[in-house]
Amino acid sequence: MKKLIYPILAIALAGCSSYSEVARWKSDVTINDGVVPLATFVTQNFSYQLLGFIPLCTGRPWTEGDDDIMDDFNVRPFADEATIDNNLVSLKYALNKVGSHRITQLRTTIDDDSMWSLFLVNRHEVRTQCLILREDPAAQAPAGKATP
Amino acid sequence: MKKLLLAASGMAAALMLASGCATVTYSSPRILDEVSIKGTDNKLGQLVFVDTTGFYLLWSLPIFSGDLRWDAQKRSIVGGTRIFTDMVDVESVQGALLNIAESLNCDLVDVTFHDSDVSFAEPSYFGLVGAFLGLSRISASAVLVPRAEPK
Repeated sequence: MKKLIYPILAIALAGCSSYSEVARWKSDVTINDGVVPLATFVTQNFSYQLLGFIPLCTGRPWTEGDDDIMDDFNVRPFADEATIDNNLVSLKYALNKVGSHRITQLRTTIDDDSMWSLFLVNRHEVRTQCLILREDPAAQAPAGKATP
Repeated sequence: MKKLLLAASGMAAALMLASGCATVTYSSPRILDEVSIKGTDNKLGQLVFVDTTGFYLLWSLPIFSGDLRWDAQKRSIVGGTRIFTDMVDVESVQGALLNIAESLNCDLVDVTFHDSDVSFAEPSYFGLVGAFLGLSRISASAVLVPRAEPK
């Protein structure tokens, strides 16, 4: 039984976390169409599930009160907060910090890996990245219907 | 104890197979309000992620793989897992993305593809046997932007 408990404990204490960072673009180097980005945003969030569906522990999104870089080992047990929506919550917090809500090159990846534990424990990982641009003064507030 | 662990592993592997190796995940429809994505004309976008995975013996013999075929009648991805068939390629992921966009009357912005391969030589449970097994995954993410008029 110890062989099972110790690896899970190790995961909960050390391996399960979330990381978010917003880095200012300190250069006039342009991207594709001559635009100079304001900052780069990355976030990643991990969770672990027993047998692929029983939540063991999770990291959490970047929210009010966190530092400029969140490298968080504040693990929440028996929950799964590694979702696209939570990464977008982190993104919105980063946008508020930077003071611009205009982005480009939004990208997300989701990875599941359970083979390492012989399918006993699944490691679920959601990563989101984008470039933050300066607000376009000519642009109006985002409006329109959500897709169904 | 070893037998119990193996039984649990077998059950988990079966569950994984049953739940499928192909997934489509959407963000909540309004989670990106207040965010302006370049190229969307300030329309509200929704993030979509499409992913398919295959397991192979000796990197060439498919054991099982995700199924992203489009069901024209249900207007959705078939989903699930195909045994001894390799369905993991960029074309199937791209096709799924385009079918989703067409069915929702949306255009796509910020389309990115991601692929990865993993060998199981390292996990101690498998030992050297793991070196014969490989996993290949192709995924794509994009922002769905509603069209003003249906095409």
